[in-house]
Amino acid sequence: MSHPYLTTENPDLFALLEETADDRCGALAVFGGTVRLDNDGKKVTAIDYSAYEPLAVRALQEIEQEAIKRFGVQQCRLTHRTGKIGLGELSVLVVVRAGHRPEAFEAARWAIDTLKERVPVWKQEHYADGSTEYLKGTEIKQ
Amino acid sequence: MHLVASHTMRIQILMHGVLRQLSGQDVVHLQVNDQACVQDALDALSIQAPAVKEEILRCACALGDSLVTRKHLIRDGDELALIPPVSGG
Repeated sequence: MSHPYLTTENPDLFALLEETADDRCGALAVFGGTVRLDNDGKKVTAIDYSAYEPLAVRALQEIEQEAIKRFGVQQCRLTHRTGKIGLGELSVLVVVRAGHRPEAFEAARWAIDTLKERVPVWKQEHYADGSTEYLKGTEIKQ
Repeated sequence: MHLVASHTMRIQILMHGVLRQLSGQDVVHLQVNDQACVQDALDALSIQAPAVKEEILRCACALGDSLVTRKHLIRDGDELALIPPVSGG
């Protein structure tokens, strides 16, 4: 069973490593995003992620396939967490396996950058003073 | 005497991100005329929920897992998702 694209649970890195295991590959690149203490001078206590699931899942799948084609990597898997998560917790994981490290790093970097531009997920930051704010974000190109 | 039926469609607008905060709603129920397009629905939404009027300009729209243009024709029962600027990661 494949790891879900969106999950309210902590993303399971080891499940993704198992899912993408590939003897053709000598390189494994993993990027993880975590909740950071400070943003724009404000003390963050948590981030509440929400998503429009039908399009988010499709966009994540398309980015995976595009990364494989564009960089010639063998495997690419993405998963994003939703719900309210605390400091230091994982919000997103990118796992890429490739023959060699240059394309693995490049594909992982491209995948997370593209996820931030295309996938309908929104973060609402919660601050130590009790206030909250939706971050400005990137308009989806149509 | 001829009666002219007034055809309207009932649709739902799925609000996301900052739109939920601005409108205080996750879903807005709207009635639009037959042959209404996405832009017509957004115009109706701006009247019903004026707090989101400005933000709508920065939104993409989707039906199911597909993005749709402002000219796309709405069907009765559609759930039109409004996609404000995204901020995942």
